[in-house]
Amino acid sequence: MIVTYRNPGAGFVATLLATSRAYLQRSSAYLIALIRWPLGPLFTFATWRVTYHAAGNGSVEGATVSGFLLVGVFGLITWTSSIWASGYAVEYERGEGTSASLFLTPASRAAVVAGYGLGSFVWFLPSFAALAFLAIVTGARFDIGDPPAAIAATVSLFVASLAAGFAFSGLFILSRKANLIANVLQSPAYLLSGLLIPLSSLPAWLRPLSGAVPATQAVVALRRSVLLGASTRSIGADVLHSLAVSVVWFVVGLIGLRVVEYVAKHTGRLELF
Amino acid sequence: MSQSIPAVSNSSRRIAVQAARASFLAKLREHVFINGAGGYVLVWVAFPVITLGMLGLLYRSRDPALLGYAVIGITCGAFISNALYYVGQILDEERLEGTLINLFLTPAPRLSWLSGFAFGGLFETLVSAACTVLLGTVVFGVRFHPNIAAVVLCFLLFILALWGLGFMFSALGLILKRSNDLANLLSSFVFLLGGIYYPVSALPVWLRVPADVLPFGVGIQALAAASLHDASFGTLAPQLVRLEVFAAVLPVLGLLTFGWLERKVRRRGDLEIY
Repeated sequence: MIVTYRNPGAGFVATLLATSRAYLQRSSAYLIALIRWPLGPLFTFATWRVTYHAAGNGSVEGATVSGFLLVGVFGLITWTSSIWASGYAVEYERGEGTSASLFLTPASRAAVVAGYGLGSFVWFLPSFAALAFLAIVTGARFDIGDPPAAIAATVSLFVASLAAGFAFSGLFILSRKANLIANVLQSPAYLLSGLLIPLSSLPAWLRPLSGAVPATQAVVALRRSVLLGASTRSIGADVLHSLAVSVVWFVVGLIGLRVVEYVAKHTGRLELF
Repeated sequence: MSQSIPAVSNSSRRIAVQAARASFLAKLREHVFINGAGGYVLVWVAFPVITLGMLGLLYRSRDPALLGYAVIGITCGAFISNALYYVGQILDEERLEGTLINLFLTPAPRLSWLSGFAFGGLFETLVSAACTVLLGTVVFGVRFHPNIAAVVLCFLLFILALWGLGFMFSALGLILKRSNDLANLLSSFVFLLGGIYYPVSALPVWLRVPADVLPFGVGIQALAAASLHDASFGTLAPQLVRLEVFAAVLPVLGLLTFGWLERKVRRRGDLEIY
C-alpha cells in the first residue's frame, strides 16, 4: 500500500511516528533489553552517588549530590540516545540491509533520524521516572522557582540530543567505523558536559571544548532551574547558547545526510561492509 | 596400544595449542583491521582515561589516597570488563557471521579456542591498563610502592577468577543470544558493587553483603594494597585466602557452566538462531 501526503509536514510526522514505533518494537523484542536499558542509568546514578559519598562531598555547586546527579544522569540518557538511537539510525538500517530501501523512499531522512531519537526518549521514560524516585529517596532537593525555565531547559536538552544525533548519523555511516566512534564518543561527554562532575572542576584548557558540546549549557540551565530556583531570564543565556550550538550540529548533520544520500545513490557503496 | 595413547594425546595437545593460537591471532588481526591501529588503541583507552580523569578531578582535592585506589580500580576494571564482554561478544559476532556452528564442529577442544579468544582480550586489555597506570602516574602524580611478588600473585589469582567468570558469562550469552546486552546489564552491577571507583567499604552496609561474595572488591583491594603500599603477604593474608578460593572455584564453575549450557543449546538446535 502506498500512502501519499499532500502536506509535507504530515508526511514528516507520519514517518517520525512510524520510525519511533518501529524503534520501540525492535528494542523490546528481547527480554534482556527490556531489563538492561532502564536499569543502566539507575546503576550509574547509584555508583556515582557512592563515589561522591566516598569523596566526602555533601553538595555540588550549591545543590544536593543526588539532585546534581539526577540532572546529570538525565543528560547522560539523552546523550546515550544521541549516539545509540538517532546517531546510529542509518547504521542500524545498513546493518539490517534496509538502508537502500530507505534512500529509495520519498520519506524524509531527517524524520527517520528524529524518529529513532523520539523512540529512544519514550523507551527511557520508565528510567527517567525510576531515576527521579531514586534521587528523591537518596536526598535530592528541588527548588523550581520558575516552571517555564525548567521546561525551556528540558526542551533545550532534548533539542541538543537530537542535534547531536543528526550530526552523528552521517558521520557514523560514512566512516564505516560506527561502533568504534560510538564507543569512543560515549564517555568524553560525561566529562566535557559536566554530566557527572561539576564543570567548575574542569581544567581551563578543556572549557572551550566543553562549550562546543550542545548538551553542556542545557544541563547547566536544567540544574539551575530545577535545583537552584533560577528564573527564565537568568538561564536565558545558557539556553540560547545550547540552542545556537545545537543549530550548528544540526546543520552539520543535514549536510552529512546529504552526503550519505549522494554516496548511496551515486556510488552504490553505502551498503558494503 | 600403549604407544598410541601418548601419540594421540600429543596430537590433541598440538591441535589445542594451534587452535588457541589461531583464534588469538584471528581476533587480534580482525580488530586491528576493522578499527585501524589508531582506532584500536583509542577504543580501549577512551573509557578508562576519561573515567580516571573524572575521578581524579573529584578525588584530587578531597582524598588523594582514594585517587591511588581509583587508578588500580580502573586498571582492574578493564580486566573485569574484558571478562564480561569479550568472549561473549565474539560468540555473538560468530553467530551473526554464520560461523558459530563451524567453531563448535571443529575437532579442536572448546577450551582451546575459547582460551585463545580470552587471551586476545587479555592482551588488548593490557593496553588499556597500561594507559590508566601511566595517566595516574604522570597526570595525577600517583606514586606506587609495590611488593612485586605480592602484586604478581594477587594479579594471577584475580585473572584466574575472572577467567572462570568470563566462561560463565559467555555461556549465559550463548543461551540469551544477546551477550552485549547481558554484559551491559552485569557491568552496571559490577561497577556499583565491585569496588572499582571506591573501596567496597564505602558502600552502604546492606550493599556490602552482595559485594563481599564477588571476587572483584577483594581482588582490587589486595592489588591496591600490594602495589601502592608495599603490603606484605602477612598483611594480605585474609584477602589472599578469599582470592585463592575464588581462583580455585570460579574456573571450574565456569567450565562446568559452559559445558552444561552448551549441551542445552545444542540439544535445542538453536545455536545459530537469533
